[in-house]
Amino acid sequence: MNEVAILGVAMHPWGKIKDKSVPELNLEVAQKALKDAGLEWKDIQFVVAGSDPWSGVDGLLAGCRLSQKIGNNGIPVVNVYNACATGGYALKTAQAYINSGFCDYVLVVAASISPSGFFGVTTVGREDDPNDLDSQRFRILGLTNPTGFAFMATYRMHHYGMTENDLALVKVKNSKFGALNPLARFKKPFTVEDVLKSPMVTYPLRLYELCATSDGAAAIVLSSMKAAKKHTRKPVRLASVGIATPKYPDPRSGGYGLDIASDSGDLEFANGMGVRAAYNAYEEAGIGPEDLDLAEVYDLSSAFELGWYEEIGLCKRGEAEKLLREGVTGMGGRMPVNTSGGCASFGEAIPAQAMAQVCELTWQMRGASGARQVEGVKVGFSVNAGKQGNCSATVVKK
Amino acid sequence: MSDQNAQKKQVPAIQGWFTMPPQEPHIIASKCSLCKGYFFPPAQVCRNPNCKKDGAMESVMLGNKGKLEAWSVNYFSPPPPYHAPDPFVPFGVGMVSLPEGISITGQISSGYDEKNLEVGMDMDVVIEKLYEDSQGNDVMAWKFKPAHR
Ligand SMILES: [Zn+2]
Repeated sequence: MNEVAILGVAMHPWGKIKDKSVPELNLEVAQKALKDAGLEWKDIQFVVAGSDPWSGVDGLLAGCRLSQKIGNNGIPVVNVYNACATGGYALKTAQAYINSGFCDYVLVVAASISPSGFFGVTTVGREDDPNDLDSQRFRILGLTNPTGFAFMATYRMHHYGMTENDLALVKVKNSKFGALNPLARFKKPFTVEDVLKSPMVTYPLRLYELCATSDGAAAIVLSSMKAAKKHTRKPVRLASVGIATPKYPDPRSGGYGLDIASDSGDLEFANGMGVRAAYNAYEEAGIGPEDLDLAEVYDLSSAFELGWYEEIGLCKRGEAEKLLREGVTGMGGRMPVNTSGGCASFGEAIPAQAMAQVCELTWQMRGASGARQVEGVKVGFSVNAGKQGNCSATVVKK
Repeated sequence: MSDQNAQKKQVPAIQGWFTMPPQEPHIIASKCSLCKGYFFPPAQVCRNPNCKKDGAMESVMLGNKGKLEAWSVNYFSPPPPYHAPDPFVPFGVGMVSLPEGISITGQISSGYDEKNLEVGMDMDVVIEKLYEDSQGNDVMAWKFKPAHR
């Protein structure tokens, strides 16, 4: 068993945060999570921080800058960045160090202050540099992230009968949850008509069916199960963390149609690395999709949410729309998905987003999710995927 | 005006990724002599992790007729280094599977009404102007054009 205890969680409300920097945000959520855990900073033996690519050295060395702010105590600090799966990789690192016996108490923390609008090119060089594939996808293809996401949508429309109404329905469902989450950035409950009236960004995806770029911060205090006994009788457990990267010849193995080309091989529009991350998490926790009570899935677009239903095994290929239409994944449904409100209600604060998913699951397991609480939940699941095919998944147990 | 046009050159967006007119339009990939995998953009080393890696990478022209796997129409201007016309013109983008089992993304040929795109339709590889560079040259790249086969 690789499980570790989730002693404390904290999040800063998501939004466009103008008055705080990444080190300040990390300090704020770290202190809140420590308090939630009933621990002090001096108890922490190891820090894993998600790096923020938009905040310069303060962002890259996020954990070191936090440590400097809160009081350097000489402990190891690891700074990680794996795009949208950063939080998952940070949790995996913490879990591995705890289970190796290296330490008992770990603080995992991440914050992001990101630019508005389309995520652009992150590399700088000669415009015609053939090795700079990110530049070339913008320059030659005009391929923004949302347009890459739209490929999955037209694929689903053709093969599985997804409709523009289904895309709107995902937003409607998630916004209903988000309206009940004080930490969410967008708290307005949307109707199908509202969503269908929003401008078409990249056919068939409309503005309200795409994840915005947000600022936010989250912190999680983990401990060994043995150490947890000193603090709580029955801690919420991080039962497993699955991580995965592309594997040849995954179709579109750089992730999500954002590559210039696939490897030669199976051309089905599949999220191979997402599936592997999910099943790595299931296997490590010794459970399967049939054991889940709720899930947080990465809805970078409405179409993505539907893809995940199938990829994490909630239903067979091509059946996600049915699950959505029948309300199975909605409020009061048999298998609620994105009770936090998802990326639809939060936007994406990239390095902190996977941790935000785990915070939501923890609150749900504690019965502390207020108006959006799902009754009787025992097993939660989160999954995400990002640039370069970085994927992570977790199982959180009561 | 005709003088200027006469001097106007066509330059590839990237040298060696595709043929240039008046040659037949083809995307140029690498083929591993050992595992026979195709790679685009061209690769110096075989990207198959299970391949022995000491094989030669051969430069090959991929078949120029494929099928549309997925597509979209982009209604907002992408950030640089995309060279957007002013005013911005929406454009189609598609993923096309080529006979070698490799799928390549490209813009849809300008002038085609993107609303008529359909997954599964036949597509031809074309080499077309992307934008005009600061020297007045036409920067060329591959695009896909719906075919009537
Ligand atoms: Zn090879």
